[in-house]
Amino acid sequence: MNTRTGSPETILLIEDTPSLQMIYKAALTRADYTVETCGTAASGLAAFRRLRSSVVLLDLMLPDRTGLEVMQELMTMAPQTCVIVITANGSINKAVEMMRAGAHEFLVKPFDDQRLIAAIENARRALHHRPQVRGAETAIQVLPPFIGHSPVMLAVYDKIRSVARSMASVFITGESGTGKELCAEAVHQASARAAGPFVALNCGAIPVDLLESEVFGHLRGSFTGAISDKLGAAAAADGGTLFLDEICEMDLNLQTKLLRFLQTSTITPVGATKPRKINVRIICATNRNPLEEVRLGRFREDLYYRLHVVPIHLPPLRDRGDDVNEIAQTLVVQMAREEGHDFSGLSPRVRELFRGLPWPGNVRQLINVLRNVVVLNAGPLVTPEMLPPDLLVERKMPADEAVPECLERLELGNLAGRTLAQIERIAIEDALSRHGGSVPKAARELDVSASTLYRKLDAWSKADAAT
Amino acid sequence: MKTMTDPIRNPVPARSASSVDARALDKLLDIGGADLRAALCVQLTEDFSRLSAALDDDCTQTVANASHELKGLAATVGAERLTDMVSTFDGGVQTLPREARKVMVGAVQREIGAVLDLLAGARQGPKRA
Repeated sequence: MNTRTGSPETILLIEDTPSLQMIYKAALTRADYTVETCGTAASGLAAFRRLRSSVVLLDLMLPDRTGLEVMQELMTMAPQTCVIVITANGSINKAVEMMRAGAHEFLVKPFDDQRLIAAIENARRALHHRPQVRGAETAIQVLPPFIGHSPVMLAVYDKIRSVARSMASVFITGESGTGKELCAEAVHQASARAAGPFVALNCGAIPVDLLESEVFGHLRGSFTGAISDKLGAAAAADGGTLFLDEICEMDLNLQTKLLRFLQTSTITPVGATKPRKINVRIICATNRNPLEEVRLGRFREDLYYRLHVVPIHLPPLRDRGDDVNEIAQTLVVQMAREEGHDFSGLSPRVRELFRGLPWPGNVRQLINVLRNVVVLNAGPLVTPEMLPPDLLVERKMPADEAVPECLERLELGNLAGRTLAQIERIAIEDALSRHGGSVPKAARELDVSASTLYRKLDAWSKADAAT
Repeated sequence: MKTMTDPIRNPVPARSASSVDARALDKLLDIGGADLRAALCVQLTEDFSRLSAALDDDCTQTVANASHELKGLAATVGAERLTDMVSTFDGGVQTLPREARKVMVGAVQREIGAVLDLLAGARQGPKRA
């Protein structure tokens, strides 16, 4: 027995259905765990006060209180507790709410004993990686390989550190070139799975016909051209992290299979008859607005809620203050070393210019500009004359100089009689449609943060669903 | 309870086969020794019977809670048809007209009866060829 009764090592199981209690307890006992069971929130909390269990299995619906309330009380008493939420199928939205409130993982009934034990093991591994107290120092440290100290990026680093301790799915959004894959790798590296593989797959770069085989693998002879067995990305990431970039490009049929994989943790390679158990953490990313994709019917809503547990939005470079110069300074020295040139930094005029540029291609564009400068010039400082001419055309137009085209097209007569909230929605939806659904671009035009627009879209989506 | 069956005396009826994934149930019951199997059968019988009775309650909230609990339990024992039926029922209980609710509860309870029948037979262990 690797545990002793009445200690934090004891798994606390709070589940109100007696037979399910028996089943889960039997599975855990067989795997050498000590388990204490409770059928109500009150008895569960009392047991927790006594045991201080580090891992708690908690049913979402209890007769006396909701699972969310119980979890919040547990976390107040001991913030390091790993809570694994047990839920019936159809309560995914509530489970997602629990994950956002700090749950470690959720298990959807029915699940087998292997899945249950894997969840417990993951929780225990995560506990070893948890710092005992989250100090202020941790919150302000830059997270390599990221560069930059802007408040928006410090918040991103903090979120990456927090989410890395959990098993929750991460959904990264941000414009192209903002570093979504870097972010996914950072989550993986900071997690308990860092020793496992990190497998990245760009769903937008693979033909639809091949994507299923790329994700789930195939057996030799399963289709024309399948000359040998192929291990898919999901199986290759077993024990580690699978990063699905440009997830919104995924075909709807494959989305169904991905959902099934997320629900059962099993994959069936193309041509195989038996499913295979896989233990991976999913991180996905898109440069589109995923909620808008759901509304347009291009992305499954149930998959969205499965994946969109912890969202991380990477701000565009133009919103990161002086990070652009910090990144440029670091990169230019590094590139000069690679190219055998003598660059030591940026001139003050270039620094000022860089702060004012819109950088539509974000860090990727900055890298290309700097590589161009370093290859074609000798140094020692980057000056405006060295910059590619087309870069300067992109300079931001001051707000009073630009008259948004939309204002010319909007007629006040159409807005008469509407509430301010309705007008706001019309304006936002108009901006979004003109920018092909890109929230960051619409937000820039409307001079609000992208997160404000995401929040509003989320609220409208919920209100629309309720009516 | 009309649908409740004594797990000790009654054999496995043929109609249960279509309602429950018997292999899943057997795998579940084989989680421990014979004593645990018997105890689990008794407990499952009690739970399904309790929930079946709760579905007859006049209080909508009681019915809603019971259907939610039943959904997880049915899925766990491999009662796929019951899971599907309760999944449709769960979440919409509050808005269902009384008569419609009665009809649906009746259908759910018949399905629970089939599960109880299978549990009664399963107590002695899986049939061997």
